Amino acid sequence: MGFRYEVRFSGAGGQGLILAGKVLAEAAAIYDDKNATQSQSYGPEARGGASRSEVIISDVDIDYPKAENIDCLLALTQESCDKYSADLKPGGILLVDSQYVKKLPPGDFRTYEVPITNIAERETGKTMVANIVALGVVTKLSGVVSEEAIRTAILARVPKGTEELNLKAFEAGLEAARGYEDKASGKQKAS
Amino acid sequence: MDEDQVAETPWYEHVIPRGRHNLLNILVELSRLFEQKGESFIIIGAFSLLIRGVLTYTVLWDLDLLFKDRESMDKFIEAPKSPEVEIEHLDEELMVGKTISSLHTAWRFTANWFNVDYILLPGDFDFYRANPEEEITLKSEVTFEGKSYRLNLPVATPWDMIVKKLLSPRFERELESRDSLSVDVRHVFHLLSKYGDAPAFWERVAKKAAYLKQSHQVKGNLLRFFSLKDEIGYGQMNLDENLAVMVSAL
Repeated sequence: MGFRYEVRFSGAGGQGLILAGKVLAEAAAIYDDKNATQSQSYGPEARGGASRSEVIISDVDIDYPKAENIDCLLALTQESCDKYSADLKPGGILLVDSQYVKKLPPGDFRTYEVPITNIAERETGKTMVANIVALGVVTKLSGVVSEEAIRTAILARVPKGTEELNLKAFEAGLEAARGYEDKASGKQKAS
Repeated sequence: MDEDQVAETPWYEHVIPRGRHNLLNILVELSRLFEQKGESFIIIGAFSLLIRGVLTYTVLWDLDLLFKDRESMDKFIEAPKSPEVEIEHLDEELMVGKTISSLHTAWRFTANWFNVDYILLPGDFDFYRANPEEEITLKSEVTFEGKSYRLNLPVATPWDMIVKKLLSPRFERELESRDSLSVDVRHVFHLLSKYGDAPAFWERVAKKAAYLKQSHQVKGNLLRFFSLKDEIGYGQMNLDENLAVMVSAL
């Protein structure tokens, strides 16, 4: 039986979450030779300001295209954390932007509080690339796709001359997560 | 502009290899439904630009089906499909927003799922069909790995797509924020690269912008794109005099 890994990116509309999901799925399906689906699906709870994008990655055929047992949840806002953490499986990764998510849900999660938007601003001068910083953290913490595949997928989506900004954001995400990936559990904070 | 309907390289080469048969089967099934039920949907969005040879890179594509109204969407959902296709609704119900309503689904004939999104955008179906003399039906025969697929699909035209892209609030927002990952800005760049020097294209853009009474806005957003192109990574685009003249005439 092969592995199946579910990632949910959540936050507010306009934070580039769908794009982050697509880049992750493309890295897996096009450059890492895995099976992957990406979707932006909404249940009734989605009405309001929260938005989400989901990726399923597997080394075998994906039987069912809906993410229901989340291995890794990114929450960029408190609202999205409140709404979308219920499907996070025990032992799963809960990654929150510590600037905006102050109240963490109870549960047996590996929780990482990372100032994602601050890192984007500090390292690139643009909060707009917070989604790419988040992608770096998710890549490092989950290990579900190779870092090189993500770099290639990013480069395939950006025009010439803007590669440096986006790769810098991705590397900043990797760096923020470095040191955490081997820790099995507990609440983690990054600066 | 028949030549516009033929891609220089087969469009399906820009679909991940393991998903090609599945996608082609889905398009054949949509062709069958189109022929049986008449025009209840139009393929819009990035996929329309892929199949018409405008976009020539590989990403994970979605199919966006624009319906005339809720009734036609419901009829489409209820219409009998091939017993070989499996369809999962990713949303629990039609998600109704202020400007767009959508139902996300995934289809598969083979092991791979492909996203097919059902969309309602008030007024847009009539926009895409505003000139009945324009042929938006794309007919082609694709032979892939020894198997033939006959396609007969209503697909939005590039001149309609650029008008819609230029007028979308997301395009303006992402252009102003110099978002290098903007999908809409990238699509506009590719449309301009392919058709920028084609007078017939600009005549149609002018007509459709006028149909929406948005000529001023279309022209303004194009000029804004031109003024920012170096900053957003599209400095290599050539702006010749003819293009400037054609845009000025909008």
